[in-house]
Amino acid sequence: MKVSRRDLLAWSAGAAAALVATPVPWKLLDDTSIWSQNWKWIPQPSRGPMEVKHSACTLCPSGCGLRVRTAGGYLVGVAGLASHPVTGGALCPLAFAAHQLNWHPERL
Amino acid sequence: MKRWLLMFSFGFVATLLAGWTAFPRVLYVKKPQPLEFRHKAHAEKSGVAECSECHALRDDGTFAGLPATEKCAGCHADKIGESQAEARLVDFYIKPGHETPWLVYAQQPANVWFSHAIHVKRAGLKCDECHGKYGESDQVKLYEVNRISGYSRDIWGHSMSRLRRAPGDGMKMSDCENCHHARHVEAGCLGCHK
Repeated sequence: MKVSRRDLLAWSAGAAAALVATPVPWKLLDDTSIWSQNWKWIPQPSRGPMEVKHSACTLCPSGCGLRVRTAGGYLVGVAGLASHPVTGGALCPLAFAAHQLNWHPERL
Repeated sequence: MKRWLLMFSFGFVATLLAGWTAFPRVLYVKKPQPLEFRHKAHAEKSGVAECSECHALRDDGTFAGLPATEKCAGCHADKIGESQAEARLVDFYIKPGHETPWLVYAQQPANVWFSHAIHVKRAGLKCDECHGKYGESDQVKLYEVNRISGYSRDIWGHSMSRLRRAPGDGMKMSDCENCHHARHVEAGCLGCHK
């Protein structure tokens, strides 16, 4: 039996129609979207016990009060320290992003 | 039967077969765990009755997950029995003080904030409602890793269609959402993605 171009087209049409009824496109879509969130240059917080520590910001002379969260000893979040007598929980944008400076691409 | 219809049917059936049988085999890579472990034997012989005796919450409420080697050393400081797994445990992990590099079935992405303490203590969920009846197993189950996402097959669940799944099979965001809706507990986006 000789396979014609028309046979191949009919075969491909059947394959395409069946493809949506298999997990292939849906699972690949799901997996590639997860893959795109986990590129190796995206910093990942380390796993470990979560702790909250009180500190002061050192990025300018004001020294605002910080409430920092750490995961496995690494800084993962910064918030204002509401009980601080001077700043009362207020922070500037730089202080709020202070924990991200560790991961800055041009950090020395 | 017309020839084009025959060819169409061949293509249809071949793709269905490949998609449901060959695709999962290609997508997932089977990896062995570093050691044999029998939950059932530990429950029966050493009287460990609760999951939390080994998979404990820390004092601050966070979940420690797998027990440290130190915990195993409580009984396995010296070899018990002659099995190969026992020899590996004692020689490779307990005596040098290394942690066993278990492959974690339920490992979630880093952008998921999940508190075992809230689910177990406040909501009163049983471990097997999410993890299945793994605690009664007689051997470590097969760890299958997704080649693309890098996560365990247990996250998607063992059923590729995600239909008619066994309880505790699958840990996708939709599984969390379904359980929350069923119990009328709304967490919102920021409840889990901080």
